[in-house]
Parts: sequence; structure tokens; C-alpha cells
Amino acid sequence: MTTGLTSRPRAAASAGRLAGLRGLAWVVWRQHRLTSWIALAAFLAFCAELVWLRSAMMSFVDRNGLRSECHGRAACERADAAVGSFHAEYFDLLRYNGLLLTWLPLLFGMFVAGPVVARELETGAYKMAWTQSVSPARWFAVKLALPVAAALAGVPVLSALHMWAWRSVSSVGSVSSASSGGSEGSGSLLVDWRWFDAFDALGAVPVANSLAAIGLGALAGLLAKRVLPAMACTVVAAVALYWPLTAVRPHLIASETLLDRDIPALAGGDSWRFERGLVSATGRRLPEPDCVLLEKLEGTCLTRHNATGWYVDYHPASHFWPLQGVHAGIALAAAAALGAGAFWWMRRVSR
Amino acid sequence: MTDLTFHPDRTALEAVGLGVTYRRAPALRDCSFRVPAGRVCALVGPNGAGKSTLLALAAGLRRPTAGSLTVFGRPPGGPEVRPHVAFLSQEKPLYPSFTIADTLRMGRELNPGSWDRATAERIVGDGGLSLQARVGDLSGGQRTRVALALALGKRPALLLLDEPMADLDPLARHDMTAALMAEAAEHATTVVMASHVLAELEGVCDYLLLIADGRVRLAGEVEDLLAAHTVLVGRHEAAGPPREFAAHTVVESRVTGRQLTALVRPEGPVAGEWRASEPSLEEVLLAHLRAPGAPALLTPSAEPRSSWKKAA
Repeated sequence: MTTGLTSRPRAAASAGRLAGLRGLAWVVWRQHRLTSWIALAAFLAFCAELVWLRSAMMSFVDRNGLRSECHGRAACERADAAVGSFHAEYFDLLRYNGLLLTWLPLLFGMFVAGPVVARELETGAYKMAWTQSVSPARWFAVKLALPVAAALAGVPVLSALHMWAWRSVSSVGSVSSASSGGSEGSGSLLVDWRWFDAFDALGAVPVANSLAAIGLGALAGLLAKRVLPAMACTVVAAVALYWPLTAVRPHLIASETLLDRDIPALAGGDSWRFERGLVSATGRRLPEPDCVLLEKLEGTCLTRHNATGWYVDYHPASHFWPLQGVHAGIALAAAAALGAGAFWWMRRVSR
Repeated sequence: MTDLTFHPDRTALEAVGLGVTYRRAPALRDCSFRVPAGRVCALVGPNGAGKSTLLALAAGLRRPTAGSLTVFGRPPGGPEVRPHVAFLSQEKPLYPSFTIADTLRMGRELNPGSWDRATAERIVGDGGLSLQARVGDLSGGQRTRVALALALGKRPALLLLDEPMADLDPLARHDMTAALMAEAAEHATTVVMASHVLAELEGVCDYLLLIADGRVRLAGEVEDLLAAHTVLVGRHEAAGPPREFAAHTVVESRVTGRQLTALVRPEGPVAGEWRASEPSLEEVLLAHLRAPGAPALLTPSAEPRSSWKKAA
């Protein structure tokens, strides 16, 4: 044995000690070291970009006086022009940030399904990993702990920063649009990116969705056993599971109802109007009747369908957190169920 | 650890009525055998005989569909057994992005308390490998060396090797075998080594387990198995087997012209004019592989000590 052989691993060991990791945690970190660094860099860049976006939007709004009502035709025309250029410069950017956060859980799921779980099975490396002194169940737990820790530490920060940036302009539009007296919402800064549009990118939902996606990825990785099929299965299953959840979202908590003799608008400022229709004297509801626009406006639609008025089911902005809570609860329950399923399968195949 | 160290009467591996069905086809059928501790056991058989399946069972990577297999008297893969069993599978899987130093560190991190760093580094160093080399850049033979260092560094009481030397050149094979045997002798490690390369096994193994078509054909000390067989050569012109053989077990007999060559298990002195000689290991193995109908032979030490459910 040469001295060179003994001194080098000591250097490697001290580098690991710097990272403060021991045992399995070190192995898992070493395996996904490159991905972890890339993810950390992307995380920091995303954070910086959100902070910049918020201050840029704030200063734009302040510079153009969009917070206060406009007085006079010229001032209001200037304000409308400023809203237009806000859309061109910042709105899409804010929306893409939100969409990125909406789909971030899927990245977690694909990473867990492919590189974390299925690659071990595809390359046969599990035969080495599962025959060490550490049990396969513990190995699996630590493998999943890395993405779970990343989701718990990183996603809340991103979600909070995104919400902070979104909040800085989300209420601006309603002030100026009310003053301009135009049709509702047309002058809003976030015309179709309200709290109910950006729901999946705000609050606790991105975190809960990320955990559910990790559970799904773990199970898909174990079942598909190969990297690409496992990742594809995760995407398909995530969409298949998520779509029904968005469909039932308005009914997760009790909504409020507005009754009106005239047809109410579906755009309702800060409230989420998700269903409109005719209501009869007996209280029977007819959602979105097949009336042409003119009939609706002239009221002949009411008589044709023998109805007494219109109804709109909606969630006021105050329902945001209760809805978030129920949604996050469902996603966390799914995460727990999928994770338990993955562990059960893991024990079944390994022992 | 102390209760798993070498003891002349201990059982390293014991199967009773062991069966595994893989995709509805049986990979192992009703296997019963025993490997005493401290032996270097050759696991021989043609391709697809079930060797890898048996090793995966012993490593705790698979579970039997029938019967039982125990490692040091306990279920394989259990917490008491896991730290004392090392497995080197046929593909020698390692993480390609790790350096050799990382790989050995992984061995230490995953086997706290038992990791023998000096041994692992010596095996790697003897191959002239740099610890900073990436595993993914190594040749097949070099990777085998690292995988073997990882397995031996665990200082197992039972070392399971699946075709360990298949991709080594003859010189490296010789060196690695010597290193392996030195380690096994020093720590009284039980080694079970699967191979279909007979040259890999001659002179190295003192115990033999022959499986073919998912069944155990021969099990026991190599010496005893050789002593139990005799090659008989003589003139034989009549049809059918010679009458003198009726009292013995004939594994295989072949006629070339008027000369008959037979491998038999004599039950006493053989009558008639036959030239008898002790067979080589290769002759015994080949005869059994060519004659699947021959009854299985287990020496007394290879018979399971636990409930022997079926008559052999």
C-alpha cells in the first residue's frame, strides 16, 4: 500500500464532513450532487427574479400613478395606455412565473421517478445498494428524504415570493377599472390571472402538490422500473389525478350565491364566479341555458325557460385560504397514501 | 459478529424444499442442500440453471415461492444477517459517476462498524487503480476489482459471487482469485461462487453444488464427491448395459466401438474386467450434466439439518 492511497480518501472524507453528511445521506447526496447544485442555482435565480419582478412592477405602477383613480379624459387615457404597456412588459412574465410554479411539482415527480428510483432498478445498482448493512427500506426512505427536504425547504420560499410579487399588483387593476367605468375587469392589471386563476401557484398548494408528486414518482419509479417509462407514467398519472381535482375545486367548500333578475356578469371583480344559470320559482336550477345573447340581455330567455331570475355561484376572495386549506389537505393525503403505497411495494419486493 | 464467526459445525446456507417460480416458469424446484460454514463452495450449472436466482435468494433480493432458505440459520436479508453477507452480482453494478474513493467511502458509510478500509484499498491498489478514477471510465475488469473490494471491505461471513471473474484477463483472474482466497482463508469466510467456467474453480473450491434445470444434482465436499465416483473402461459388445453394473448407480455410459466408458457410483467392488480410475472434477460434472436422469447425490454434510421434508 502506498502513502498516496491512504492520504487521498482522507481528503475526500473531510470534504464530506464539511457537508455534514454521514451514512446513507452522504451516499444519496453524492449520487445527486450535480442535480442538487443545478437545482440550488435555479432556485436562487428564480428567487432573485421574483424579487426583481416585484420591485419592477411596483415601480411601474407607482410611476404611472395606477394606484389612484384617474381624473379627466387625458389622464384616464394615459392610465389605459400604461395598463396596456404593463401587460406587454410584465403580465406575461408574472403569468409564466406562476405557471412554472404550477408545474414545479411535476419536475419533482419526474426526478424522483426517473433518476432517484427507476435508475437504480434499471441499471441493477439496487443489487449493490440493497445488500449493504443498511436495509433497503431505510435506503428508500433516505432516497426520498432528499427531494422531500428540497420541497419543504425550497417550494414554500418560492411560493411566498411569488405570492408577494403577485399581491403587489393583484389589487391594483380593480381600483382604476372601477373609476374608468368600463365593463368590469377590462382595465384590471391582472385581467385573467386572479387568485382563482393562479390558485395552483399561490399559498400552500405548490408545496402540497410537490409532496404528492414525490409520492407518485416514487411509486411510478418502483412499478415502471425504467427511467423514461417511469417519468412518462408520472406525468400521465399526475395529469389524470389532477384534472378531476381542479374540476371539483369550486365545490370543495360551500360557495355563495347571488340572485338577480338581470343576467349577472361572470367576471365579478375579486370573486370567483364559477357557475351561472336560470332559477325557477320552485328553486329549480338550469345552468347556462341555451339562449342567444340577445335573449339573455332582453330577458326573453327568462320567459322562454319559465324562470324567475338568474343565479351565480361564487367564492369571494375571503374563500382563498379555506379553499387552499382543503386542496392542500387533499394533496397531502394523496402524498401520504402514495408514499405508503411505495413503501409497501418496496417491502414487498425487497423484504 | 461473534456468533457468526467460523465454527466447524455451523451452517452457512441451508435450503429445504426451496422453489422459485419466475414468470410462471420454475427457476428452482424442490432444492434441499446445506453448505457448512468456512467452505469455498462452487455453484456450478449450465446457463439458466438457477444459479443467479439462488444467489439472489441468499442475498435477500428475492423471496422463495416454496420451501425455505436460511443464512446462518436466519432468513436472508434480515437485520441480523444483512451486515454479514456480501453479494457481487453478475453485472457488478456500481454508481458510474462515483470515483473509486467515493465508492469505497460508500462502503464505509453503508456498513458502519464492519468496514475494512485497508483490505478494500489494498485490492484496488493492487490493480494499479487511482482512487480518483471515475468508476464509469473503468474497464470491465477494473470495475470487477472495485466491486470485489466493496464486497470484501464489508468483511462478510458469507460472500456470494455470481460469475465473479468472467470479464477478467487470465492474469488478473489469477491475481484476484489469489487475493480472494487469501481473504477468505484469513477470516474463515464462507464463499459461494457461481460459475460455468470450470477452470475458475479447480483447485480453489473445496465444496460443490451442482444445479441443473432448477434441481440440485450434486452437493458436498469435492473430495468426497470425486471419491464416490469411478470411471470404468472395458470391452462390452452386448446390447444394453453390462449386467455387473446392476448393483451400482450408473451416471452415464458411452460406447465407442467395442469399448465402454462409464461413470458409476460403485456400491461395492465391481465384478468383471474393468479398468477403474478416479474421475476428474470436470468428468463428474460433465457426466451429470449430460445425464439429467441420474439420481442426485448429497454427501452427509450437504444434507439439511433442519426438517428433511422429502426423501432425496
